[in-house]
Amino acid sequence: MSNQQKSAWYTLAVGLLIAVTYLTLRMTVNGAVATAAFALFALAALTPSLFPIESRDERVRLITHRASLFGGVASYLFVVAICMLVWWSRFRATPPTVDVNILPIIAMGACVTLMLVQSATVLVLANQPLDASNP
Amino acid sequence: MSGPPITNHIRRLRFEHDEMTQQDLATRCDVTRQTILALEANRYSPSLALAFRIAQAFNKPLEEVFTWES
Repeated sequence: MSNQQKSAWYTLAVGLLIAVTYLTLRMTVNGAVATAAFALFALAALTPSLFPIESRDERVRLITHRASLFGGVASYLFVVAICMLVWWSRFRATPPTVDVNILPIIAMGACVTLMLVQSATVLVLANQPLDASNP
Repeated sequence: MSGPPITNHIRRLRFEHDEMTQQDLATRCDVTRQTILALEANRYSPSLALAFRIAQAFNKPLEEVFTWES
């Protein structure tokens, strides 16, 4: 298994850990305490040290590029979907306001989505046929 | 997803060159061993630059290392 795949598995595990911890704390305690789960993002900062990626390799760069593309699109769609969901659920309320505390939740959720989709894409592409002339 | 239309003889050439390991070839071509593995399994179609580096590592012309399957 290459360092890129190990890095992807690690990032995937960290992303799932953050998501599960946030949802668990939100259901068992409250939303304010649940945001402490985002401190687990610090574990992702260890990835370059634990699994240094050989960025000079063209195949590694190709996979990283495609994974970043998919991760970015997924993250963007997450933000759009969540914002629409919030608007739909709140616009008929009186007054039709949205709690400002939801903004960092959306931002962190987008980061988790980016991590999960990017990692999963790396793991899938590592075993797929690739063509350097068709990036 | 079908594989790329370029096949290669890298595995055979490695054995013909004093049983060169995948890691040796990867180091000479400045890529990872996994890339060499993917090339030999026909799961990766390299760039022109990498193709030339691999051919140079075997001291062979490009056409003897890679074959275009039309």
